[in-house]
This record gives sequence, structure tokens and C-alpha cells, in this order.
Amino acid sequence: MKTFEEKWTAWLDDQLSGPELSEFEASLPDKAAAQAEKAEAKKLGELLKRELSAIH
Amino acid sequence: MQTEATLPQSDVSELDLVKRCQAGDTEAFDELVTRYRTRVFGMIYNMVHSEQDAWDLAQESFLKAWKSIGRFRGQSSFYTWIYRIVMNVTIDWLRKKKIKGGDAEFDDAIQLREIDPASKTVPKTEALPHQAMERDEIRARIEQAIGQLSPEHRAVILMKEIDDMQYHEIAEALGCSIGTVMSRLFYARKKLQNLLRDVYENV
Repeated sequence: MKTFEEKWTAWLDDQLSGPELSEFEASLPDKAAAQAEKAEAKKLGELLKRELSAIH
Repeated sequence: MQTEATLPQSDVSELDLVKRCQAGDTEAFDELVTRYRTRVFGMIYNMVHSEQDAWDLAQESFLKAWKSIGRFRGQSSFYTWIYRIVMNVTIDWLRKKKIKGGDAEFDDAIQLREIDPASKTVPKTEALPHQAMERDEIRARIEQAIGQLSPEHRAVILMKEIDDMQYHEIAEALGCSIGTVMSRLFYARKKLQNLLRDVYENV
């Protein structure tokens, strides 16, 4: 049984699919806010990748 | 079932290099070091934010890898295997440094206490103008933010976002469960979003 944190992380990383995705999205109290947070997490990831990959 | 004949050339040669290392061939090990030292250095640097310390830790990691390469069984990729050594060395070093030096606290328990999983991430500061955000400043802000994460949280966010590693690869490299990796990612992202929102919203 995944915790909320695990499901949220999987959802952010587009790792949920099928019934698991439907159930998780249905459980979100404010889907628009969640989508906004997902977009933010993507921006954070892009920032880290862009700024920190240069050292690699 | 994948046979050696169907493996990509780079995988075949890496396995070959490992086998030669296990037979005591130091030149083969030099080749592996050459292949991975930049990525290893980059990962460690992003964890410790000191060039000299990063080189020292990379050297220590490769030395440990050489000493223990006889135990590498090829159940994971060589890169995942050496990452585990690198992460053990680096996390140990960060923890010892914390004990000695009074660095910012970074216990997982503190991370959990500070961040409500259900919290909405609302900007706490005024957004900085795009023009004022110089690259060095951005880099410094990121390093400062990452410095506030626990060593384990630093490791997962860097492996995921910079090296594009899968959950199971990170779990293998850190010797923890996939669930733990996902949970650490959750808190690391929340914390970094709080600390860096004005940066990623303005660049």
C-alpha cells in the first residue's frame, strides 16, 4: 500500500497509470491546485537540471 | 533472455573492463575511472559544494571501488554499483562534517516536522525581477537550498533530476526501498519548491 507521499511523487513523475491514476486524481480535493504544483515541480526539475548539469 | 551478443557495445566493453579489473588489471580500472569520473565528480560536487572535497571524495570512492571490485557480481550496472559506493562515502562525509562543524541541521525527522505533506506551497517572498537574477546568484541560491536538505534527500533529488535515474536505481544505489526513495523525493521537492520558487518562476 503506497503512502500519499509515494503516490504524489509517482503522479508528479507521470508514473501512475490506469485505475491507480484515476483513483489518485479522484482523491485530490483540488485538482487544479495539484496540477499547478505539478507544473511547479517540473519547473524546479528543469532549473536543477539546467544549472547543475553544467558541472557534469 | 539477453545474451552477450545482443548487448550494446558499450555494455559489453564495460563488462569486459570489470572482468579485467577483477583479474587485477589496473589499466582496465583506469578506463572505468575515466568513463565515470566526470559524472561522479559532478554528483559529489552537487552534494558537498566544494571542488577540493569533491575530488577527494571521488578519489576515495574509486579507491574503495577498486578494493571491492572482486565482489561486483554484475547484478546491477557498474554505474549503479559505483554510485552506491559514492553515495555511502559522500553521505558519511556529510554526516561527519555535520557532527564536527555545526552545519545546518538536516535530519529526516526535521524535514518531516518542518513540512506538512498537505501544505500548499505559497510564495513567501516577493519575486525577484528576471534582470536582477544573475547566473552566479542563481547557482548560489540553488546550492544554499540543497545545503539545507539532509544528505539522503540531496542524494535522491540529484540522482532523479540531474542523472534521470529511475526509482529502483536510486533505491539500489542508496540501499533503501523504492517507497523510501519516493517519500524522500516528496519532501526534498517540497522543501526546494519553498526555497527556490522565486528563482524558477523568474528565470
